[in-house]
Amino acid sequence: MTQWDSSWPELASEDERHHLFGYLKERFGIPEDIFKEYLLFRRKKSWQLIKNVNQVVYASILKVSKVGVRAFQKVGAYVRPTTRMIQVFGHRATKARLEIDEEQLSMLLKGEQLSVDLAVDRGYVILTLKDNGILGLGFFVNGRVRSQISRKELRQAMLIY
Amino acid sequence: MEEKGVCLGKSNDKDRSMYIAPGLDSPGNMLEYFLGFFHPQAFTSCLASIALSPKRGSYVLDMCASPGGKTSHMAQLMDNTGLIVANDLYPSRHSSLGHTLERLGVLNTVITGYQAQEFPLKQHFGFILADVPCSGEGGFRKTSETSKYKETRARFSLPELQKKIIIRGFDLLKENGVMLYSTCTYNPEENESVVSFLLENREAKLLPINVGFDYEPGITEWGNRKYDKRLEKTARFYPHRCDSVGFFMARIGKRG
Repeated sequence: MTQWDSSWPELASEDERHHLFGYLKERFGIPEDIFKEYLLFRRKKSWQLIKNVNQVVYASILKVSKVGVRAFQKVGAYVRPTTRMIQVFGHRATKARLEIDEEQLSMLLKGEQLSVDLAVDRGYVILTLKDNGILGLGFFVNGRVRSQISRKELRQAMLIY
Repeated sequence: MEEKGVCLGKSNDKDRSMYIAPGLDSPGNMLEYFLGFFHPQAFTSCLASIALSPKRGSYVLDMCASPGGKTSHMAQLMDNTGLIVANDLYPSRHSSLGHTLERLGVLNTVITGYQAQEFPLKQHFGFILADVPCSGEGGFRKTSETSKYKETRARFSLPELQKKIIIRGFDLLKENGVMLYSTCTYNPEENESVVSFLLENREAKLLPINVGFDYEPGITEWGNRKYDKRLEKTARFYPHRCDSVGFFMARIGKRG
């Protein structure tokens, strides 16, 4: 039984894991079992993900300030996967993906919405950039998508380079 | 990136985790930076992780980790396996450290905030990077003309701190483990003197450094001081030879 230093966030319960990873499976088709090799911790309004390896037991006695990658965060009453979580695991998604080009990305970064024809329910979609990588999340409602990516992180200037 | 006119060159045949991009300005303004496809670092800084080369699945300590370039490079060399303890004393630096690690998708790291020289001796690591605070003389060529080197008291106290860190790092090393001591300065008081102090006080051995790039051996004399001949196994990288920041490395082993 691992003795965690009190600085470590709380280990998420099986129910909590199933709730969060199950959402990724249901919404995006990301297989739930790929997260078997990870530990999920909860700290206040966010959840952190780290590889579950033997050495975590050694590190458990250390006073930590941060563990792994922030994977989910609570936004109001909802829980949202983070941009970085989606960038790491989004390549396993089979649905609710929207490929956009740089012109459409520029519109999103200006705060505009995109009119799209997507056969998915209201909710988050994974935004991918044509011939490039996974950008993060957008929110789809009434046939329109708006960006959920931080404009501090992804800036208009990045499209000029 | 090449489609955008960035000229990428392989640094050497040995390593595929590092590319040279001469003339690339403001890499942090590239979309690929946001996407976590790369992290810009001085060439010689990249060589530190390669000189240490932590193996897949190993337990690694980065004693002075912020802003996380070398930590994330080690995670890449380890294929995101094992566990890295990324330590930095100052909480204000944990934010930039955490940001670098998240942006690059590093999933095998925890961040701690101990004084490096007092990191708890409760466990031992297979690989340790001690990229210590230094006077930064190696960066003279890239600093602007208006910046001036300041001979502050803090600079004079660095060797004492560095000696404490190298000793603690060595004591945290597993048998047959490997530690890399590095600085970005030329000052022998912060380089060979510190490693010499370790050799005088612990059963340490100096290991060869193979980074696929030529370097000068460590010096064995400075002023009135003569150092152990073994210090020739340490490495000095000079800007006029490598077109990068000046750097010093010592690869240290613990006898099994």
